[in-house]
Amino acid sequence: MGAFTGSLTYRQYVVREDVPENYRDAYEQSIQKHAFRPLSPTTDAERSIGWCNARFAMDTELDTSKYMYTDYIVLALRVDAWSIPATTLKIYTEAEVQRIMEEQKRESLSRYEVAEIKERVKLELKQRTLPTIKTVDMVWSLQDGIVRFFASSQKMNLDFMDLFEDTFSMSLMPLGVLAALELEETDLSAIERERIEKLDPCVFVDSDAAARAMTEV
Amino acid sequence: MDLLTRMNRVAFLGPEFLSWLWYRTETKGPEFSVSGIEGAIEIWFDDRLIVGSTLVNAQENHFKGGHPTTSLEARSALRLGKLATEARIRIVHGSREWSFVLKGADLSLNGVKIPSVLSKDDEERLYERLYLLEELDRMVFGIFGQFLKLRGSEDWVQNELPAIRRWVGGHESESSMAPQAIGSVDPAIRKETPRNESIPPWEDPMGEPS
Repeated sequence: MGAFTGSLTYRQYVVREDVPENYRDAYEQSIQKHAFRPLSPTTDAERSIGWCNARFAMDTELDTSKYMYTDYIVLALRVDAWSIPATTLKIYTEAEVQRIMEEQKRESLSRYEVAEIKERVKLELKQRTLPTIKTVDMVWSLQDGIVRFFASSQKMNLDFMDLFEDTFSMSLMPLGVLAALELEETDLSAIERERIEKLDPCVFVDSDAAARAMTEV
Repeated sequence: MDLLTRMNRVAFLGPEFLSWLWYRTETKGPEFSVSGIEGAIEIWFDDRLIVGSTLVNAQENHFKGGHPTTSLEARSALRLGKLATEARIRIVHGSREWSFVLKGADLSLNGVKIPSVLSKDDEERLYERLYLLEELDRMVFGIFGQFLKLRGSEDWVQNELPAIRRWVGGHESESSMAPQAIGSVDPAIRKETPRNESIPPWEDPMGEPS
């Protein structure tokens, strides 16, 4: 969420390399290669991450008409994950263990047998449920090289940075103080930037006022 | 020096910026002029403020509701050497208004509220929202740039920092911006304000006190 509707909490990044001249074709292929692929309940994969259409999360057939908006690339990061509650898995595993013990007229099962049953139960439960889906929009302004990712969670941001760098073969730098020094908006000369990078923190209170404050508290 | 070290090396400038902004708006008023933005903009600290330290593991003070920057508790925290690390800020430009939480540590914007978007069509709405966010960036980073220029200048050491310290210590009255004592009315204003003759004096807020 974020680019078209919804809350506006985001992290910004600066793209550190220039966009290649033939970026349209190159990016189309790469985006398709890194498009979201659905999870299958029959495989071991617990999570799947990839790009999807920012307007329709189910649309993963991505061509330029779906993500190019004049000078912006707008995509959504989609993360699907199986999330079977631990209690549910425990209860169903216990029931299956009980059923097998009765069927085989045994008093107990080895821990390896229980682990195998647990994996089988998990697979069965996956077939009866749907993975959780999360989508987060990403807007890349090709003109100024700024990327907005509309989520603040560190995990989602790390997943996003990995996918972005794999897809576009470009590195991202979080837009914090250091990156801001280079922005056109801050309007700093090279000499000013160099001087600022060498600054040390300063104390905003003099010692007398601090001492008085200590007695106040 | 590698990139991560360089990023960490200058991270302290975020909280310093927020604290300077607090000082600047209280002592010199909310108006700022930003290159590329027509007319003045106003910066107001809103109802959320966190004061802490990014250099040592000190206790954080969270203020919520009302106007935290004017509270004695917040100013006491400054006097203890803490800085503003997070604040909800409101930017007013003409009839438009942005509101957001600015985190000093990484200059990230959270819970951003932009002026009303008029477009109904998805694509137009996207462009309008992005335009408003980019305008917000121009304002925030424009003011951040002004702070950095000052912070790296001799003027910072000679004038600005001593003035900030006087303000933090409570020696410098926020003369131009300080609200007058409750109940006091500037006599000049009182003289110029005509009484509304159509209502009784006791119902006229501009009337002479009995």
